[in-house]
Amino acid sequence: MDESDLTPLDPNYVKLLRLMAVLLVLPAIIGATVLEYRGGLPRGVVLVPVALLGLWMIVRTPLRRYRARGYHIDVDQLRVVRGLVFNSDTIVPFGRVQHIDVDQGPLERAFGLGTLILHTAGNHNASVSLPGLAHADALAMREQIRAHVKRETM
Amino acid sequence: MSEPRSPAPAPAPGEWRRTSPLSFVVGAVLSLRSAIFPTVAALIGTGAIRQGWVVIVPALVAMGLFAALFSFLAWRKFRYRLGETDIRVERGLLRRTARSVPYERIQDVSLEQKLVPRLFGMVEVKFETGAGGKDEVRVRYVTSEEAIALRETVRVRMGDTATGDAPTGVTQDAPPILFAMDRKRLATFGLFEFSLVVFAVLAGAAQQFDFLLPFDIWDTRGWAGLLGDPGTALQGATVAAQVIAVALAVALLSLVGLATGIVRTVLRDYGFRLENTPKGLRRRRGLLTRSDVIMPVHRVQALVLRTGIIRRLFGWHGLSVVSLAQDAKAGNQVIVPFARMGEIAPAVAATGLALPSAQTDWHRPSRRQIVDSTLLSLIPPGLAVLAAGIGGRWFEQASLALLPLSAASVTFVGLLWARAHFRWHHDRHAIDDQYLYVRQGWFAPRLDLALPVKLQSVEIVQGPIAQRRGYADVKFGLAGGTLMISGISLEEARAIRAAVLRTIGRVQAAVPAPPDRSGTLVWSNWSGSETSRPRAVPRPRDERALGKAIRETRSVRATGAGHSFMPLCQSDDLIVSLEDMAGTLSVTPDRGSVRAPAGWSLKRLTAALWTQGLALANQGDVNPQSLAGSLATGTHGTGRELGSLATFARGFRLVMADGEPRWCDATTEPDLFAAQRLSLGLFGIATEIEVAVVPAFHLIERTRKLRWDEVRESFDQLAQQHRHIEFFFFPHADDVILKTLDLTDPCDPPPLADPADEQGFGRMLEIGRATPDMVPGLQRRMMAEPIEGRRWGPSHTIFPSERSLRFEEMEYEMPRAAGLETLDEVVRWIRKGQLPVSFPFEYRIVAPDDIWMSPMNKGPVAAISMHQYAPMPWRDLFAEAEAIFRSNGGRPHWAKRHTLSRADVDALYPMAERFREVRRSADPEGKFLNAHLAELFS
Repeated sequence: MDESDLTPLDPNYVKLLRLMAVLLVLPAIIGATVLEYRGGLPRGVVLVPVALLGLWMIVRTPLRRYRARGYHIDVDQLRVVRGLVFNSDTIVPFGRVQHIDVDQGPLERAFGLGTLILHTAGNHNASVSLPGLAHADALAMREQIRAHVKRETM
Repeated sequence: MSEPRSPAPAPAPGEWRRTSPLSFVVGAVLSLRSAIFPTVAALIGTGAIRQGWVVIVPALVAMGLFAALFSFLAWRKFRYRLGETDIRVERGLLRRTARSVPYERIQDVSLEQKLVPRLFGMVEVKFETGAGGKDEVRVRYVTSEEAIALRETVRVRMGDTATGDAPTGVTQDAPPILFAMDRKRLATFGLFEFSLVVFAVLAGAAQQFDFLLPFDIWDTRGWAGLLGDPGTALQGATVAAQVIAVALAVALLSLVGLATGIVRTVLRDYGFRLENTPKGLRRRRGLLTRSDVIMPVHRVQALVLRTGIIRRLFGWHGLSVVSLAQDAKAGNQVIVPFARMGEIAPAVAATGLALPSAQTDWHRPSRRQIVDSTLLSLIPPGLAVLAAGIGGRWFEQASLALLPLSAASVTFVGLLWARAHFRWHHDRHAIDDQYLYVRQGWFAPRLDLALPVKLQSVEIVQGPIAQRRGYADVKFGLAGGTLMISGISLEEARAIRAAVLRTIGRVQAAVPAPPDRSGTLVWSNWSGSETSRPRAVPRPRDERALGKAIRETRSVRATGAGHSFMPLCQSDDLIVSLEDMAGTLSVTPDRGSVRAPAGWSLKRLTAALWTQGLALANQGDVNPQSLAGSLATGTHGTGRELGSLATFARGFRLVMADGEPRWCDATTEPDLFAAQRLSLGLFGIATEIEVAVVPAFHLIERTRKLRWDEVRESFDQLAQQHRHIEFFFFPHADDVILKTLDLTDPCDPPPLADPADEQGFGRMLEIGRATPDMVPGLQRRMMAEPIEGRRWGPSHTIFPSERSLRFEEMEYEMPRAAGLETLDEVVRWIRKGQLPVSFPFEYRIVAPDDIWMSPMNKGPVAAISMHQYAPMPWRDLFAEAEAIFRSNGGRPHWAKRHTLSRADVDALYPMAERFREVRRSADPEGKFLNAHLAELFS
């Protein structure tokens, strides 16, 4: 029942992950470059490995992370799967949703993405977030879940 | 605290009130107490103390006056009010804060008496909101009489009594005591609460107040000198003297630890009492600070049974509650601190849960996970020994460390092995009909008892190793606590998650309900009007298990969603649920029919059909019912050319009274099949059913308002034009709501498919329930609103509507020609008496069939459903209406309210006796009969 096919996230999410990786790697590259020219170390000893690792983190990792993520929205529950190394597979029944947020950070806005956040009363998984949705999809999903929550609580 | 004989009169709503005037005295004493240390410190610090009493006395007097003034102002500025919908509190001298907390947000009301307030007979009332103590409201100090009155008033407003779990008029004289501790038990408990915390406290205090000490505590040289002398003396002493000294030190330490344990325990748990009051579990405890807490049972989310590695050997356990009103202090949820298992059981039963029984089907965690985690913990000590070994080549000190390090490592490995061994033999989990149990832990073993229906979310987590080795942790969202099963196989994790989600998703939590207060299983139908107390509610996973259950019982009925209004599922021995039965959907080669597990809900079946490009030709307007149940009762939709769901059946696989499975269809066992098509579950328990299907199709639903007299004239014509047609008719209004469904091109549903404002309807029902006289007016006003709606999408999503407002229902299938006239007659009778029928009538049409016991077997019918809001009286109304339906030639829907007798059945159904003959040969012992069915069909 719950091992249904996963819906992939918006392809733009890969770009967002890449951009975030660039922001993470950039300081390291700058530091390595400075060290390279000022540190008096043999040419390429620091810069080359750092650059290769950076490239891997920018090109390969986002794609793998993207592929490891996904969701499945059913009539009465949302399943969120994420994590490459630490895999987590969460199901939230709509009947247990307290309230719903759709967040959009500045980077997400640039790519037209949004994050859907379901809040439950549980201490664990008090909020389950699903990033990397097209913003319009996130809004539509919020409406769908909201309609369900409204009906259930009456 | 003394319980007054009768609670003080509750404060009138809407009135601003102040706390007791005495509370400002209490406040002054308290602030004096907390100010005295800093004042003394300031006097010493500034050197003013040397001036003697000339300075000290005025300073203390000034401080006293200051405390009194502030306390008085704080008291003057504090006021509270119990409003219609919320509690308001205003306080603050300079910055005023006004806080409003709606009653429905309040989770719990607790009373607390600390030492000083207690001396003045004052009580603090705390309204907990479950927001982790953040938004709670405290009313500081009222008399105990008023505190109790306040609590009563707020509890009533919270809806505790209105929901019926505490009927008014219940005598509160002597609520049963679930648990109490005498002094001997308290002392034993104290011994086990051995604690060395006092040393930590002393050290902390020394650090804070070091300026008060007559010597410099941080003067290490002084300490060395002080300790050095006896130290050197010790060195010179004999071995025997050394041993005695160490033994003395250990004995002293133990003595202090034991004393601390006993003192702390006595202070906290003196006079412990747990009572089962109608409002919930009431716990009173404490020597100096006496607390009095009521925990409403319906807020209990889970229970935790704790013990320790030593006290476990002596058979002592403690029970805590995980509840929505989570206080910051975890200890506050303890309901049985220290007891034998047998003493704990009543408290567990009072919360609606149960301790695991001998039948509990325990499962182990994955062996791989235990092996992996043990091996992983070996890495750090292994590395340390390795490092010391390598380091030893260069540094002498490192090789010196090798010996103790190796010894420590060996001990550590021994402990690890013991832990793994213990976990393998003790860590268990079980999930059954109603409960989820998780038992784990080594040093402080605990058993979590939870109700799957109260869980919030389920997460399966796998780390890198777990992914490769195929095990996972399951973490549950639990309000007010945590719950996790660690290290089980991935398949099992998924199965547990599916089981939990099924329970949560079952909106109409029909079966199995938690046991009632006395601990018996209670089955209830969807509307709550029919209940049954079976001995057990088995959930077989395959036909063998089902067959065994049937073979060994004297009486068994199967249940699905409990969506019937007649006592069809009642049984005093077994009520079987088919939800866990294995099985899949298989499509026949011609794609004209499918075989599906009989216990699947229509919702699940139609969703699965859709993925195969198939659909049911027609459905009713709700879909949680099981396939077997809807066929067995002749459930139907609407449509001129469409028959009831029973007409879709092509064949059945039944587990018969002897426990053996048998197949029947039109050619194999034709008699059994003819009877089984509308069977009321009398011939066997279906496990698989072949039903006719059609290619998937899309529908568009249109809703509009039409005048009743218009409908009467044009209905037959409209029925020709639409594939499905029905209308809803509030008997006191002039208009009806006409709903039609027609085929449409493939399309996706619009994002918001919520045409009817059920919330407004719900409010109207509640008003009508409180003042039945208002029902006619309310209905007319509601129907004066414009009603117009459209929604569209895959057929299986458009047929059903949400029915969250519970109702009771009677339905009669009238000869089609007499339908509208009969409805008119019933409505005129209701209007004439201004009768409070708050739900609308529903009018549908069904095509004829040839099924023995089908009410559609004499020709086309018009189905008239009469509903009443479940909390309102319906029996007399239905009885009078039934007479009108019967006199116009109607026959009832088998699953809805009717009062047919055996003679009536014979008069209405020519094949009734034939039906009974087949039943008698299929089930000679009458295992599938209950009282209601035996009366009609034995």
